[in-house]
Amino acid sequence: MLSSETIQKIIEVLSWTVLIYMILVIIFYSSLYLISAQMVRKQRFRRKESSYLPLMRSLYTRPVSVLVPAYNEEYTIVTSIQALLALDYPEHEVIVINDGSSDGTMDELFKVYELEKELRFPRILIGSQPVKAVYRSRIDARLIVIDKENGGKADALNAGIDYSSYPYFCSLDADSILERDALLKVMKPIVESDEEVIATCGSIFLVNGCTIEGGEIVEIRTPKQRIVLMQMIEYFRAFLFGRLGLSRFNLLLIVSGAFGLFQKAIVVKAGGYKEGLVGEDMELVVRLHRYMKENDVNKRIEYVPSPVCWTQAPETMEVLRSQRTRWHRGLAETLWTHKRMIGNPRYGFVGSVSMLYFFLIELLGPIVELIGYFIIPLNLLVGTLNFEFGIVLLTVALLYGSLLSAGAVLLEEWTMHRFKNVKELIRLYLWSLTESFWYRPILVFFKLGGLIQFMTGRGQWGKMERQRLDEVVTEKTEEKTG
Amino acid sequence: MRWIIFFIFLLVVLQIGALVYLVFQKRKRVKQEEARLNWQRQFQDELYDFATGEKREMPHIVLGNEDLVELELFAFTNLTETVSHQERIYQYVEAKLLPYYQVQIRHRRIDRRLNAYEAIAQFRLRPVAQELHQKLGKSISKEEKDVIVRTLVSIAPHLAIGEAKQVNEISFFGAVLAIGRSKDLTAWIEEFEQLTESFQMGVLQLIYDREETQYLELVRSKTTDAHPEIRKRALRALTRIGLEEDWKLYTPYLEDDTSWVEQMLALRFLENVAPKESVVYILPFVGSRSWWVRTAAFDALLACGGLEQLALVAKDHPDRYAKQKATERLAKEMKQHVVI
Repeated sequence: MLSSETIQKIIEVLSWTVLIYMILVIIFYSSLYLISAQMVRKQRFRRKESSYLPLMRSLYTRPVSVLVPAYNEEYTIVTSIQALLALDYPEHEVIVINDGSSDGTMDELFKVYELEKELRFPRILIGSQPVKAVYRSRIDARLIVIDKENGGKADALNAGIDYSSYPYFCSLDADSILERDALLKVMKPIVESDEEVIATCGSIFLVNGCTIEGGEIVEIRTPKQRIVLMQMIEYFRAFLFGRLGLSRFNLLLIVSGAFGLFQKAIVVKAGGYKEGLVGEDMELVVRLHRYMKENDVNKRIEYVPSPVCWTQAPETMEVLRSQRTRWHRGLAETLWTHKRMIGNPRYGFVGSVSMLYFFLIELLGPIVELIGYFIIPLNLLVGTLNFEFGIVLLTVALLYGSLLSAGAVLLEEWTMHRFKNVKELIRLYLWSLTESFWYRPILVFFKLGGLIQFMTGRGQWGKMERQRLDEVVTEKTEEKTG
Repeated sequence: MRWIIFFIFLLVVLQIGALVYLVFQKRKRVKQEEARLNWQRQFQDELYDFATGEKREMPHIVLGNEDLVELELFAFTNLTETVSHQERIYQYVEAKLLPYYQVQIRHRRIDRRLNAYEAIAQFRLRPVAQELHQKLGKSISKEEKDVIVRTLVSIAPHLAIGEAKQVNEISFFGAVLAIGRSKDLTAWIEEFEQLTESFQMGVLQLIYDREETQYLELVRSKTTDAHPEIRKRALRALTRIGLEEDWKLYTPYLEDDTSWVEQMLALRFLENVAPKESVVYILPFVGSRSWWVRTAAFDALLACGGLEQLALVAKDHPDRYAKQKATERLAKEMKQHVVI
């Protein structure tokens, strides 16, 4: 048995480890925050229309294939396609890849878009599960539907790449809605850099609570359900200062699967999406970085904050758990696949900063946080540390979650003014302050579940419950499990 | 320990300060919104009457609503093609907004300055040209330089051309956007040899876009330029403005070891001049690995009257993709014939 002195020593060491870790993380996030604030400040009053108009009229705006993998998306697919075909873009096609859906996804597509079979032999660049048939819409020839055997999202995207006609592709989730000029905005850095930028992504916002008509968001409202509200705040934090700050130094490791634009040639050279992983979007971006470093290709991956893709967030704790567990497992799988890059100076700042950040902060963060939750009561119980230290540890733990998120809400208001009125702004701010008390601990447990799944090799995709997008998305009830 | 607590306390105070500031800003904005919108609607009517000559007096601008005026002016100038209307708008901006833009181009915020440059270009506000030109000599960002050069092309092209001869970081796309503001390319062509590479490529690009046949000699001379990008742009321009005899300038590029860009351009040229005997040169490229080359090959094949060969490709070509593409094109052609 351990002596009480040893136990006290262990608790003391753990307490200091947690404190130092959290302070370092806060410093890192605060630096990202300052960098992002500086970046958005420069563009805060920029007139949007005039800076994109030349691109819309330009001959140099590259044509894009929009790839939409769909698995059991009968409620959302029609509205999504409607919005995609109406995008403001000089030349684009929409390729829906039905990944062996067992619901009425194909029936909906046949009914609304009058699909007719088309004879197509793609040049197989990557390969996928067998394709049963390819259809083109009689209503709009830009819509192509690939009906294939189920093989997962990565496999569906690979099929889409093989069948796409254009040199750039945009991957989208079937339940997402893009703002009309979003594609144009993510293409801008590519054109303006004379194709030095090879991939871009925009912001993801939550559609829950908003009003949608004809595939377009007509009224933006903050959701009433607490669980969705907290996710909304989390998205602000992740996009507005996480991705923006990392993008500034070409350190972006995630181009969200919900909305990302890629140069097809380089993705094909890197081998396409990797099947069998749940975090295929992150894995692809890490592989692109790896490919570029190993082959001395000097290209960039950028995040553009203003184009927005709207997507549905889980509204029940069960679905949220499944999503976050999956995401964390995906992160672990990606980092494991490319473990030689972590902290490796051969891969430049991507290896020594970005990969290290994802490993130490994103992947291992939940473990340290979990220790943190137990360490304060333990200290009180054992009487190891003095009162002052306890106060510092507690405030740092609170700052770690709540104040950073609250800062993201303020940054969002400062730059985008998306909240309807003062009441909404204050409501979001106050809710963000509660993050450390309930939402963050819940996420820690979900993420740990993902880590366990990764280590034990178990786990599955889980099911996301969709609402129809073409109806007014309203709050049904106050969420039950928050 | 105390410094950590102090730091956190400072952060909390700063954040509360920021929240209070944003709340006041938001409240102010929400309150003003309706009044501003009403004013904008009224101004819209007055501006229309003035620009179309129905009223002679210039609409009055309420201090602080310049951004709304700008929106209306942009909307109007983007809609109208009538020169007299545009001229009246330019006069209005010079009379009413010159002091505003003089302040804006000296603003400490880059986004404000960039907005002002774009408005100056749109409304041809010439009195600020010299000041903008002087800014180019100062230490400013690449983005700002790009926009200033673009603005100068609209209001004082000679100053912009002078800048385009000096070492600068302006990208090809930036150069195209800048030169594109000139309706007549003659001044650029006269100084072509002195321009930087980006601007030379930009000029060739615009010759292609606008099919400026009068510059054929310059384009021909640049098809053998030592700089590969200038060479490619010249070959591209020639695909539109070249004559049949220019075919010889492309033949070296139809060999296997040339880059896909030149192969595609050669095929585009054939599509444009469409000599029947060139079908034999086109056929090997219908199964090219490059999407651009094979697409150009099918376009050229059809333009050169290779319908029969297209049917053969659809029937017998060893490459599956070429067969499929040929089938698609053939179906499309047949459909057109039936419609006709």
